[in-house]
Amino acid sequence: MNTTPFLSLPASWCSALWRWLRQASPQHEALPVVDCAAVAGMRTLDQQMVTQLGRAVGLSEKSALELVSQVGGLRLLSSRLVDYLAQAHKQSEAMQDGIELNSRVINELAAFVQTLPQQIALEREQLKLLMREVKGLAEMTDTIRGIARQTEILAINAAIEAARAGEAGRGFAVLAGEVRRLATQANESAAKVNHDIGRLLQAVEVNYSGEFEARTRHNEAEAERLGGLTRDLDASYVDMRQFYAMLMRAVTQNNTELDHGIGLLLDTAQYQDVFKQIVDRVEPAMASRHVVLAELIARLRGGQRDTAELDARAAALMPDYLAGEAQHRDPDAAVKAAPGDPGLRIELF
Amino acid sequence: MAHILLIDDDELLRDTLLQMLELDGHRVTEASTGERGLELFGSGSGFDAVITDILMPGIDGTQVIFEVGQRAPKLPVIAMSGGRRKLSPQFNLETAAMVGAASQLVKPFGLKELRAALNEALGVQLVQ
Amino acid sequence: MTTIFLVDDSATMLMSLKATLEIAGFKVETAGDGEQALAKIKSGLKPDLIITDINMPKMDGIEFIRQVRKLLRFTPILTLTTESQQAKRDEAKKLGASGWMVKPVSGTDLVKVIRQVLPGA
Repeated sequence: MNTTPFLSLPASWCSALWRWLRQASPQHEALPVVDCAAVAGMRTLDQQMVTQLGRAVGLSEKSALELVSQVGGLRLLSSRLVDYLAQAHKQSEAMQDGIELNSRVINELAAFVQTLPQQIALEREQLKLLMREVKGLAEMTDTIRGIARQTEILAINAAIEAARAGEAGRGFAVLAGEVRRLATQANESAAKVNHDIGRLLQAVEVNYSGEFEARTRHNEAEAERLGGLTRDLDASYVDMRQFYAMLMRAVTQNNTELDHGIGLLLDTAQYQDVFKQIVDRVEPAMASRHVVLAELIARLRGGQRDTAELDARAAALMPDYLAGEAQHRDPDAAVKAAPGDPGLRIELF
Repeated sequence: MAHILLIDDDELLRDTLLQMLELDGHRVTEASTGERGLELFGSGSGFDAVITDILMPGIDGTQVIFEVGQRAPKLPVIAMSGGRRKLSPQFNLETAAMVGAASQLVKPFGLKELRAALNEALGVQLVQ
Repeated sequence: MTTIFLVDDSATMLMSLKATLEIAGFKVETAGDGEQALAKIKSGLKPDLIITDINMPKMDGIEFIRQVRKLLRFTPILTLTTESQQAKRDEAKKLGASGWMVKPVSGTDLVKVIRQVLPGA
């Protein structure tokens, strides 16, 4: 870069402008200052444009960072949902354990109730046997009463014979009288026992009557109903477990797809850096142009018409810029060698 | 026309579906459990579609759909369900859709619905 | 847990890659330029892998690779850059870099490459 002498301006102005320009573009301290008004004006515009571009890059960075942080938040939400469902699943398992216990108790109860009719039937059988024996006793008392009556008749007959026998039969008559008394007592006792047995049998009959049958049938029906309830409960668990398994799978699948989308979103944030670098390369290109322009103006103002060298340099500005750009790979020029192969974008040595 | 894998533990229904599909000219491979179905599926080569029940003993239909999706992501799967007690067919089929089923059938269904679901899944107009 | 050290002057690159790699289960450290990065290593950071940009202010990526190799002789270094000059690529390789990646790189591909370079990560 050539430094060109100041022309047509008071020295104080030019040095002031020189200082100002040095401040404005710190990397290019040796930029020529020629015909300050026109060229400097253009240079000022360049500086402002660069400042604005810098602002634009800043905004794009701000938005990209915001995107990255929001995306992080999304991911937390989706993993929170999975954690919550895992917790809910554990909760449901705990509930299932409790209810399974109740179910077992109910089953045992139902089984027990179902055995009641058999137990009671057994008792009834024993009772029937007892009643038969008691009836046997009653028959026996009847026999006793029969014997007592017979004895009484015999005793009466004996007394009659004794009376006919006169004096000789008196002892016999007393004996006959005793026998008769015993027979009467036996009869009375037997009658009493019979009466008691009768009352006992009546009481037993009343207690173990048809009402008992009805109660038994009711218990059996209850047992059946309880058994049915536990079968329903079991079925509900199977359904609930199935429900949870399907819920977990659906949510996990959903989150997997969400995560994939989030990953792609994060990837796009990188474009901001590529954008920033492209913008960063604009400023040096502008500076190069300024140099050529400044020298051109100085030459022309100085009366020199031959600008061939500068024309060549001006013509080279664009190709040089593009050559510089070519040193940075275009992000959209993705060439994949094969599906899944990162291709030219990634190379391992 | 299409090679279809049919999975359902209900033998009678499976038989009926098999006949319907074969009458329409498709080739059917059948399985009565998810495990067997996945075994027969292998990597999926040779199959054009899978039709599976959701509520089955052993691994359920949603697991089958998920597995098939892992092994052959583009292969269409049709889910069917009649529901059971408190598990509505709608919930079952909604879940199936979430894990990747291409189309759904509510039991009981007829030939018309079956063809429509197959069309949707295979994306072509098959013989009416 | 595997630690990856990212060196880039772009906050966006650092943040987005950090998020992507943390989702994949890696621990991530970052630095905004070569000098900061070297300082962190000198004060004890021992990453399992370094990913660095090339075009950075103060110290460019090539110089950073040269310097860091004096401190960490065997840690794999991958470059992640828009730079496509063959000369720079060759120099990086000569100085001991293990790979050359072009921005932007998909998270899935990046994780795949990391797992290739660090088997068992």
